[in-house]
Amino acid sequence: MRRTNCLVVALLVAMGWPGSAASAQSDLERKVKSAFILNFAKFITWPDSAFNSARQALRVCADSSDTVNSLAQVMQGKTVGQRPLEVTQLPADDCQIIYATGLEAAQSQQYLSARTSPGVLTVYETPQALDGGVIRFFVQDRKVRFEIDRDEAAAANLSISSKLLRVATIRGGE
Amino acid sequence: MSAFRNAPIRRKLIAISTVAAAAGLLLAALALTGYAVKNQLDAIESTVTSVARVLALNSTAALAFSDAASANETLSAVRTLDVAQAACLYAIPGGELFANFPSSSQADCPPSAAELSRQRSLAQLQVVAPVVLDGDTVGRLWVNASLAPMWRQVAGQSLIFLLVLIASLLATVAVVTRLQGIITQPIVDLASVARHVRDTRDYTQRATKASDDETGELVDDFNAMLERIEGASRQTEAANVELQAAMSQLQDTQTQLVQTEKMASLGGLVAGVAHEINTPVGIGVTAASTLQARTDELRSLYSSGAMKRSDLDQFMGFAEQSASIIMSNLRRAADLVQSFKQVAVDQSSSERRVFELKAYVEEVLTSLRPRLKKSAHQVDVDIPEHLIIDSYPGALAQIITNLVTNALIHAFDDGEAGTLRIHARQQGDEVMLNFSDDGKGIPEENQAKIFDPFFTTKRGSGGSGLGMHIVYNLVTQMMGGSAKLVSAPGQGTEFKFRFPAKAPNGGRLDG
Repeated sequence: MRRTNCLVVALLVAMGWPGSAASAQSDLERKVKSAFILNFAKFITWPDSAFNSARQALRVCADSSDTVNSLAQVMQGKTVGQRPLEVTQLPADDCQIIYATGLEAAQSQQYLSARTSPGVLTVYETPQALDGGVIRFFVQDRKVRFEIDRDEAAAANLSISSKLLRVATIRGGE
Repeated sequence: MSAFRNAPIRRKLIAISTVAAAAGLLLAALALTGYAVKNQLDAIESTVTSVARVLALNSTAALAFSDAASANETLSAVRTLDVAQAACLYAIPGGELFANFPSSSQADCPPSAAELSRQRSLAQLQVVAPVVLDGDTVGRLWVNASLAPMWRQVAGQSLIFLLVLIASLLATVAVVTRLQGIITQPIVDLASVARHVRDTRDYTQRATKASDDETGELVDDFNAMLERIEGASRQTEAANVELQAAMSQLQDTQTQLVQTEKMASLGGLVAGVAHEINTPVGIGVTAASTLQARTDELRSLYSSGAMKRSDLDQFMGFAEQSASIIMSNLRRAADLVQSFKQVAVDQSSSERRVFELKAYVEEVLTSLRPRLKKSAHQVDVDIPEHLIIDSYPGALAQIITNLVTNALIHAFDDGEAGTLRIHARQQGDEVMLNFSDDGKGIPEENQAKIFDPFFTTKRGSGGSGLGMHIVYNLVTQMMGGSAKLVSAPGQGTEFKFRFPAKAPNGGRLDG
């Protein structure tokens, strides 16, 4: 149920999230990020070329099996618009969202650069911004926040809702 | 209310117009204000709802990414709505408060989304808008707006309405005061004419008609009424004059009749006198003529020289006797004349003097003797000697005469012998004089009318019906006394008179 992911976020906020950038990701942080990724999908419009059909599932691809499990748990039975959601372990093809976990820039860069066509939302979490990355998670005041690179988004042919932009840290842009 | 009912029409008109104008204006003001309030409320509600929806729409991302700071910023946009007091954002399904404006105070917000409801009270308006993300309700936005500014505006409007109302009322009073005369003046004029007519009884007056409306009709009707009253009053007046003339004629006639009756009784007196004097004068004449004849015889005897001494003796005896007869009869006639003269003079005049009652009554009875002699009746006079009164002997004579005449006519059948009784006593300053008979008495139904003028049971046989009326008037008016009748059929009749021994001054006889 989609409710659960909202509940997770709410719980996080209520309890104060204990994660830190340096430590290994806790389950809770992973769940919050999974829920955020689901929510990103709701505020971002993909180009028609990204899908073959209107009912085609939106495929979320992640590099870590823990994250894939977490995403699968969060997205279980959810839809975005009319599209069902699919979670797949990288490497994989035809991903609409690629999530590169981990703080290692080299490793993440590898996944981000693997993007071959427009219409792919790339999400990562290294301390520094990387080429090809549209949204970057970071932790501030013990809360998960994110940075959006508008140039990368434009390059990826993604249309991002102003509402999402308002709650994000903006990088680049006109 | 009764004070108003008694107020002049002018004031009523002004009051009614003012009240009507005030009621109309007030109603209009209330309706307009009510309508304006409802419109403003609807407008405020619509605005607040729209703002809440916009805020809810803009809060989706903040909720989705649990960005309270962003949500607070979004909510602060509610400031643009000057009526808004608080905006609170709740996360669903937890229902806890997520963000609020003003951010400094959470106290303005209900603690939980479960307690949110759309509410409209006199002071506040509370609107709830759902925060929907991709078909799911992720939050709820509550906005509380104060209606105080609106009420202030309404109060301002009401003040203006009040001022307009007061101004309108003043204008109404001014206009009605100027114009009420159109309606009231004809009525006031009519009332004044009516009052004047009432006071002066001058029915020739007419009210002036100023208009052709109901008031005009009223004036016409009033004038028509006056005309009719004038006619009727003129007739009544004429009838009155005629009546008065008839009345005075009647009174004159009565006076004349009473006078005539008095003269008639005087005539009767004269007849009685003549009859009374006739006897002594007749005897005197006989004696004188016999003496003359005897004188002639003696003269011829003397001339012839055949007169003898015895003849002269015889003649002288005869002459002495004759002279004595003539003297006594002439004296008697002179006495009669003297007493009759007194009665006649008294009876025809209203002279007052001091006299002895018994002697005077007897003198009057003497004058009535011719009439009494024709009947077999006896008259008893029971009056003490030396009962002296100061009164009107003429009136008394007339009273006795009328009473006796009346008794003779009415009390007894022809040939019957009765007794008339005249009884008098002094009682203090008053004299009680009773005149009674032992005749048939007076029927009950006639007793009350016995002293009325022209009441008679013998009209056909010459009764004038004035005799007892005159008696009553003389006793009560001239002698200042009273008269009372006691009678019963078969028991005789008694007239009881009571009058002062010294008659009051100014006693006079009307009619």
